Amino acid sequence: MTETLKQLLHDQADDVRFDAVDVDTLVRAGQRRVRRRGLAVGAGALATAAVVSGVGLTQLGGDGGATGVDAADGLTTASVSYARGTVIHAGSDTLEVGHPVRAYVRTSIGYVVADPDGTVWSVTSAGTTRVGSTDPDPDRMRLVSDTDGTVAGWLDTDGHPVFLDQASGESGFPLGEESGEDGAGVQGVRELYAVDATTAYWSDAGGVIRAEISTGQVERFDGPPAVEGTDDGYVIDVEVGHVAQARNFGTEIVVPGGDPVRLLEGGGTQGDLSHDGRWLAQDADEAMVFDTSDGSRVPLAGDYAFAAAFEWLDDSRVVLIAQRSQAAPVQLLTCTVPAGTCEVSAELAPSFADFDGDIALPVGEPLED
Amino acid sequence: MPHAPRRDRSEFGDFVAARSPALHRAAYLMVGEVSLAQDLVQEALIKTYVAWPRLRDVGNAEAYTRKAITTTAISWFRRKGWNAERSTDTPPERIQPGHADGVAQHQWLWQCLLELPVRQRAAIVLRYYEDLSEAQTAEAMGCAVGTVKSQVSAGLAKLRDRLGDEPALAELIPTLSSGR
Repeated sequence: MTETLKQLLHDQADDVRFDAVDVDTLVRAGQRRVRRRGLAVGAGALATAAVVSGVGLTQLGGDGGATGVDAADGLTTASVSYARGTVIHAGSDTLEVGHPVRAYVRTSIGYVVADPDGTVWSVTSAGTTRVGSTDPDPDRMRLVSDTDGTVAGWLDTDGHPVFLDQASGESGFPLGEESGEDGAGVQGVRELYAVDATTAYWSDAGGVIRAEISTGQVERFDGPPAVEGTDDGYVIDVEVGHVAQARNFGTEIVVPGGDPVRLLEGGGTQGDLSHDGRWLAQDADEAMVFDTSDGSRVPLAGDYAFAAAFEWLDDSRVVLIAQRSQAAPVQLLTCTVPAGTCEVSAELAPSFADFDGDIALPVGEPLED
Repeated sequence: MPHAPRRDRSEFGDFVAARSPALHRAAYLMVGEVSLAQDLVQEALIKTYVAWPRLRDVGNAEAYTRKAITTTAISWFRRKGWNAERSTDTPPERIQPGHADGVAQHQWLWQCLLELPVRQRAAIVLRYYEDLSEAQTAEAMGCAVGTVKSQVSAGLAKLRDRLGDEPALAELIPTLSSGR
């Protein structure tokens, strides 16, 4: 008999069919791990979490009502923040949300939180209000917002985009099941990318869609089509009309009325534009901040072993999670661009070790799978 | 300032497209379930994407992914309490005398393979399906070459023991040869 065990193994394996691999899913999950990789660096258990010194716990209201928040009465959110357990630590404030914070984003007047069950909560000075549900799968959970606006968004459990204006308390999306021009609509949404004031960006099989939230008007975005499994057309972030897109060749900034600008380094599909669109912070193993006017990189936090920029507080201040060395404390830095100066805004822990999945940063996605 | 490692999404996508079918097949042979194999490959490819900047070429990436599949499979089986005898209460039905058609033989041998402890099964898959040397298998399993020898030897011995009553099937099982 000439047949061998090897042939038997081949026969067994050849008879099986497997689903196609979604590269987008792999890359997104991988990029989240890159961002949190520092959390796995180093050894030893987390002793005690040295949180930002607070001036007292702000106990927000319960789950009732709380629509119609006046922006003038909103929380001050333009500060360095992180969440641990059910509490958002923001500057000198600590806000008890009342629900575990799996992922969150901020607007200019509040926070929007997803708990581990996928329930979405709006957190404003008026209290904590249930505003919807999203996919609890960590690989698919994603909130987006405009940090200098009042709108946040997510995909509901049917995969339809939902937007909440924290200023008015209104949520939903005016467009129904029907499609708009060029087949653009809310069906078959692959990825919700970003919100810029009241304009939202997402993708379906036909490419990138731009939608005006207040009217429900949708249209195909006049840019390179989003090609599944490639970088082409993936929208990283949008601010004041500046669209940062991942492309196969790297990152490109589409500027209103101007020629596209290619970054001289960097890549990937995660990043955050400054409020004026002038700077782009990209998710990487070290601080990667670029001038979108010419694509050049801004030297920043070069003396840190690990530094990942993840959000802008305004036009020039960017927040990083960083560690000077593997034995050093884990810090949140606030750096000023283009000056390149940085200061420690918060110390998260004595070392990177084990956050037990209960810490979140305002990037809209879980840090732990 | 040194350049940050670059994760070339296009290159990674090419690698996934080219190699994921073969990786799925190997993972399936290690775990015996299609859905679990797909989860395993996805997990391994995510790890590969994270490590991409230091893998430098596709050959390294494949070796890295293979190792991730193997060590993750072993870890999952340990963590979830799955071990060799996933069907200890219902051992595979023996082939009846005279019932020696190839399909039944394959199926029975497959069931016997699935009953092996995961490390023994992984070692056999890497050696006889992936055609790796003992040194390469040791690298993929994260263990010493001597451990590979013992795992393969023990696995083949168990298979022969189970198939002892079926000489025709036992002939399918190779004797342990020296490693390359």
